[in-house]
Amino acid sequence: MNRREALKYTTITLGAALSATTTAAILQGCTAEPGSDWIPGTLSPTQAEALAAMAETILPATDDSPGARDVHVHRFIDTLLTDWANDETRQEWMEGFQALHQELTGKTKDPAFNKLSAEDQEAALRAINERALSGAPNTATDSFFLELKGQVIGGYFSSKEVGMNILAYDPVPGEYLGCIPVEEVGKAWSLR
Amino acid sequence: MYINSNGEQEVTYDAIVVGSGISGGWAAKELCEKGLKTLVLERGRNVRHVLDYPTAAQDPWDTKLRNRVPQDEIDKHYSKQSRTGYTIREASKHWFVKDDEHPYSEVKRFDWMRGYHVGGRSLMWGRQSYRLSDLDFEANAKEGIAVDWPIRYADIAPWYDYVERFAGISGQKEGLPQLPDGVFLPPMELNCVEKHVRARMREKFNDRILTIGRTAHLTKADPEIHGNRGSCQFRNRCIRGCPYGAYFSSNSATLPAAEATGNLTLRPDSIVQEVIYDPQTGKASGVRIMDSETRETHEYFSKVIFLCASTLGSTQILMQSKSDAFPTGMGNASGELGHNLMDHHFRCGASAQFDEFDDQYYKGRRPNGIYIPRFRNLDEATRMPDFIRGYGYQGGASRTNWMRGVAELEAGLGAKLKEALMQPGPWTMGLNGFGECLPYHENKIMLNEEVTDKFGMPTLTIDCEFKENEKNMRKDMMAAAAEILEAAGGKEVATYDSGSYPGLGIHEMGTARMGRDRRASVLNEWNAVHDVPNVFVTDGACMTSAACQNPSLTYMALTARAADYAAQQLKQGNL
Repeated sequence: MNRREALKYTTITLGAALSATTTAAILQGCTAEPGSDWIPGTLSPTQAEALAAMAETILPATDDSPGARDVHVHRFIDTLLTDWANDETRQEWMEGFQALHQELTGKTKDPAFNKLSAEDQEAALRAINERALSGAPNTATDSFFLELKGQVIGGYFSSKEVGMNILAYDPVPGEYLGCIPVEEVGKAWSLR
Repeated sequence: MYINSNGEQEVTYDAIVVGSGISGGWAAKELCEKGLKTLVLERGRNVRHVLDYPTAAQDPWDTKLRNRVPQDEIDKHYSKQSRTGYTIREASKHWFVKDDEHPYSEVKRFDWMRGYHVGGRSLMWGRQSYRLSDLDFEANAKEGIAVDWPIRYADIAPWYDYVERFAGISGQKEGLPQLPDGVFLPPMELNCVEKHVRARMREKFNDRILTIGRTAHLTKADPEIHGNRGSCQFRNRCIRGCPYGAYFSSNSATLPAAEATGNLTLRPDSIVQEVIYDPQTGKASGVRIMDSETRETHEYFSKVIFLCASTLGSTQILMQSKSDAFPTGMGNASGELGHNLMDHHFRCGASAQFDEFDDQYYKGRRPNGIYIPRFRNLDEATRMPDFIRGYGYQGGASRTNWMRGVAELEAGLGAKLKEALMQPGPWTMGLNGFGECLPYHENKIMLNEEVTDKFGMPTLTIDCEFKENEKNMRKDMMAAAAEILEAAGGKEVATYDSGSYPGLGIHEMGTARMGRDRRASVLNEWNAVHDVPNVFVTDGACMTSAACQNPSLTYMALTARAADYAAQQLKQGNL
C-alpha cells in the first residue's frame, strides 16, 4: 500500500469513528517526516527519510544558506518519481536507490542511512563519490549515485528559496551587460 | 479582436492568405496596407498577443515539475516534437502539435516541428536574421546544381531593407560581401570571452571574423516604426511568447499592423484542403476549408491567393489541389512539386574552456549568441577539396552553472561543494556549425492517403537525408571550430558531432522551388505558380537552394516583394 492509498483507506474506513487526534497519530506513523503532514507519493517513509539524509549530506545547511532538507529536495525527487517518471524510470530509480542504500549502509535488511552517524553518512557518500568520479570501473551503483547527485543539486538550486533568496535572482534584467566584475553580482545567477 | 467566425458560407475577398506565421503575417500586413480586403486562414487556434502567453512570467519553482513534462505524456503526444530536446517543456509545449493528432510518416528519420496556431512558428522561432548574398543566389548556376535562382541579390536587397526596418533587427555591420549588412538596431553586447575571441581571430585569421548574432529583437524600440512593441528585457524566455513584444512575431508585429488597416479578417480553426482551380480563367478562384471545430467545409473566393502555410504545409495544399488541369497537384507540370527538400545540418563543432576572466561576469540573459559568417568556398583562395558551399557558426560563451557539480571531484560533497556551486563556474565557449544542404531531387515529400490525421485529411510521407557533401562538410565544421578556439587560447578544446537529421534545424526549405524554367520549377521569379499566376507561395517552400543562413528573414523579404507585385498586377488588371 502506498502512502496515498493508506491515507485514503484511513480516511474512508476509520475517519468518521476516530477523533482528529487519533487520526493524526495514525497518519503520523505513515508520514516520512514526524511533525509534518507531507506524505510521499512513491517512496516509503523510510526511503524518504534516507533520501533526505543523503541529500542533506551532499548539500548541508550552513550558517549562510539552507540545506537540501530545508528546501525539501527529497520531496521534489519524490514528486518527480510520482508525477514525472514513467513506470520504467520509476522502477529503475527504486532499484538503483535500493542498491545504493545497501552499499552505503552495508546492510541488506532494514537499512537506514539516516540512522548512521553524520560522520558515517558523509564518509560513505564521499567514498562512492570519489569512486564514481575517479574513472575506476563504473558500476550501476556509481551511475545511479551520479544521477541522484544531479537530482539533488538540480532540486536544490531550482528551489524557490535558493532561486530567489540565495542565488542572484533577476527575473527582468532589462539590459545585457557583457562584462562586469563578478563582485557586482555576488553569486551565480539563478535563472538561465 | 480581428476574428470573423460568424459562419458566412461564401465570402469573396480581394486576397486570401493561408497561414499566419512569419510569411503569412507579412503577406497579411502588405496586402491589407495596399487596400486589399484580406482573409487570413489559420488552421490552428487563435492566439492573442500577450493575453495568450500563459507561461511568460513563470519561474522554474512555480510549477510542481519545474518545467518538465511527464514522460508518459511525451510518449503519448510528443514522440517526434520532443526530438529537439528543448521545446517540449511545461512552459512551451502548448506551442507544438501533438504528434498523435498530426501524424506523418518517415522513410528516413525527419524531425518535423510544427506549431498550429495564430502566429505559427513566429512565436517560437530562433530569431536569427541573416541576408543571403549573390554567393548564394549564383551558386546553383555556377556549379551546375539543380536550377538557377530566378533572382539575384539586387532584386531582394531593397526588400531586406524594408522588412528589417519594420521587424527590427539588432546587429553589427561588418562589411562582408557573403553576409551583407542590413538596417540594424544597436547590436547586443559580446561578453568578455567573446570579445577576447573576436580580437584574437582578427589577429590570427584573415578569412573569418566573429560578430554578435543578428536577431529580430528590438534593442531600441521606436514607436513610429514599431508601434506598441517594447525593447528587449533580456529575460530569454522568448519561446513562451514575449509580453513586451520585443522580438518579432506575427502576433506582436505584422497582424496588428494588418488589423489596423481595417482590411483584415482572421479566421482561425480553418484547415485549407485545396486551392480551387478555374479552367475557364486559368487561375485559382478560391480555397476550400474545413472548420476544425464544426468539421463543416466552406469556400472562400479571391483574386489572389498567398500560400504561407509553412514549407511542407503549402506544398501539401498544392498536392491536394488536383484537377483535370493538374492531376498530380497544382503547379506540378514540372514534376518538381514535393522535391528538393532541404534543411540545415548542425550539432557539430567544438567547445573549449577559458581560464582568463574569472573575475568577470555578465548581467542579463541575452537571447542571442555569436555568429561566425561563412568563410569556406568564397573564392579560389578559400576553396575546399571535399565539399562545396559552406557553413556559419553560432554559439557563445558563458559561465557554467551548478550542474557542473555532478562531475565535481575536488570540492567533494558537503558545505564546500555547496559554496562552490553558488559561484559562477568556469567560462566555456561553444561553436556550432550550421551547414548548407544541397537540393537533391530525391529528397522529397509524398501525399499519403493511407494515413489520415484526426480530420480525415491525407498526411505526408517524408523521404529525406543528408549526403556526401554535407557529411564531408561536417568534418571541417569540427576541425575549423577547434582551430578557432585553440587560436583564441581556449583550453581543453573538444570537437563534437552529435549527429543531425533533416528537419531538426527547423529550417525545412524547398519542395516548390523558384526557377526560370517552368519545366524544371514550380514558382517564377515573383513566387507565383508558373501555371497559375494568381497563386503565390512565399514561405520556405520556394527556396531554390538553402544557403547556410537562417532563412526566415528571406521569407519576409520575398513575401513583401511578392505582395507588392501581386497588388500591382491586380491594379493593372492582370490578375
